[in-house]
Amino acid sequence: MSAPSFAPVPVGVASGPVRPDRRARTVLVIAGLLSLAYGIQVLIDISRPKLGGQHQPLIGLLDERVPTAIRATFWCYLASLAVVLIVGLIGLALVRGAVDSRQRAWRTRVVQLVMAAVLVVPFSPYPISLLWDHADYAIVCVPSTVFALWLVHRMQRYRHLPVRMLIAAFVWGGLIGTGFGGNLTVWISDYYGNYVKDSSFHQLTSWLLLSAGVFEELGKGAGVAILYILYRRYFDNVVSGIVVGAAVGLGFNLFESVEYLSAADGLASAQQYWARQSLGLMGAHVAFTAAIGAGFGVARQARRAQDGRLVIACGFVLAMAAHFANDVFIRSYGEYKENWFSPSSLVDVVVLEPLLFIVLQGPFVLLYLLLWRAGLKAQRAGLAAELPAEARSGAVAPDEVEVLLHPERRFYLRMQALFRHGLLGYVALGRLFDAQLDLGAQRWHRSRDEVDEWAPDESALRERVRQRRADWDRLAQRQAVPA
Amino acid sequence: MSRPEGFDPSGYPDVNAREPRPPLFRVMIGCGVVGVLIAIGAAVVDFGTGRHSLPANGPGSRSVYLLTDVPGGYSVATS
Repeated sequence: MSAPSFAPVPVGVASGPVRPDRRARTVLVIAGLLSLAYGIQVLIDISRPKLGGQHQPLIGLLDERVPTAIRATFWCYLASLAVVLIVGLIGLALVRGAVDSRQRAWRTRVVQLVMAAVLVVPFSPYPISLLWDHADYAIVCVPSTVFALWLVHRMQRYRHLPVRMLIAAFVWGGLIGTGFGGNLTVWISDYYGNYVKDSSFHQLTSWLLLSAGVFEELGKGAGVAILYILYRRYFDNVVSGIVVGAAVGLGFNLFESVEYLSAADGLASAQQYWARQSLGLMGAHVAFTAAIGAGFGVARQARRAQDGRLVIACGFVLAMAAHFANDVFIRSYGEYKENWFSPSSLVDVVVLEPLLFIVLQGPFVLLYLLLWRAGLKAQRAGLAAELPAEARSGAVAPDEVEVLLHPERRFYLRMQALFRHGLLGYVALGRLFDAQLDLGAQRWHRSRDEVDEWAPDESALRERVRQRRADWDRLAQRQAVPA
Repeated sequence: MSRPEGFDPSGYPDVNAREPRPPLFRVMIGCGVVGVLIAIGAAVVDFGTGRHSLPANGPGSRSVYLLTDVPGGYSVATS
């Protein structure tokens, strides 16, 4: 018997003509648009009318009072333009020097992805500086965030996205989403006063709130889009989109929590922790980005490209609107609270804030939960139709179908495996279930004529099931030998 | 499609019968419409008020970080 292999099934064909791969190019376009948005803000800032009687640098954010990380972002941005040019030129030479079409396609893809990474990296200095300067607050927020990430992972009752994908989503939300959203909003605070005369502080913050709603959701949504483009085969339906979106939102929420907990030397850290890491942990950014993810999840099953683009746009619109409205009404509440009544701290924290979150964010949490529930029903129904047909191939035994359709039964059996065979048994049985569900999901997509062109062939998935079953059987037999 | 004996698929809807639109398509379109209405409502409420509060062109307005010093300001307002 051949050695057991848990290596991932290779994506794409090993031989034959090279298929055009536009995924890396699309990722590069998205990264380029993020970089372009920052560049436009720079140009608006440079073009701002000068105010009489005040010395202002040409680039407003290079003012000494502005935090170093914000200024570093600008210099990193300029450097990224130079580096991306150099990478592009070197890449062009490498692509031209390729010996065959396969090598040329591979090099093109690598060069495009490297260029995309170079373009988005400049957004990360600010979030990184937050962690560096306030590691204590970050450590405080880690347990609740990890717990929430685990909850999000557990929302997948059938086929799971690879954990590395969730981690990538989380990191994007924290480093790039926070950096992009924060930096683009900061530019407005710099040049607003130069363009708008006789404005009020309220109106300035109104624009900042609008900017936060638009740019923060764009920054987070770009991460969902990139993962969707690169790993579309793992997206089943709306459930996958919600999970990826929520993971991006959690990453963003962690970094933003650190920012607000540490504001004003931690003056309101307890209140901010309560709002962002307890009460609103699964609301706010998780709910907003889950709406974006839901759009991508629904688009995964769209037959026509324009339908897909439309639902993705709807997800973005809802997320931006929800974010903006949430910020606006929270601020209004704060103003009314100060002017109209003065609740005690206890009443405010225990009663009023939860009510406020229920009213403002509850509907969006409810929305993604209802979409998630509907998506799970569709997954279950699809697997129920496809898994029994695998009985002939031997990949799924008839009595395994009901087990695969019931997460609680799978959990029970895995716990049995844990008690009988230890951690190896728990892992081995889980891998077998995952491979079977992967096969069932692939069949489901084929039956709906929506197979991703980069997904592995079903025969490869069946072979993986066979390998994992053999591993499980071998483990079970070895452990069953009486002493 | 062949199924093993003993499995009753009648309890499951036939999700493989594809419709022209993806599942939840109308729900997402409705979400988009609701989003537009929410954004308009929030903008009307927000941009129509507060014209006479603190001036925006005063000291400190050029850095959003300084706004956090204002009671009820940026740090409280945004999520």
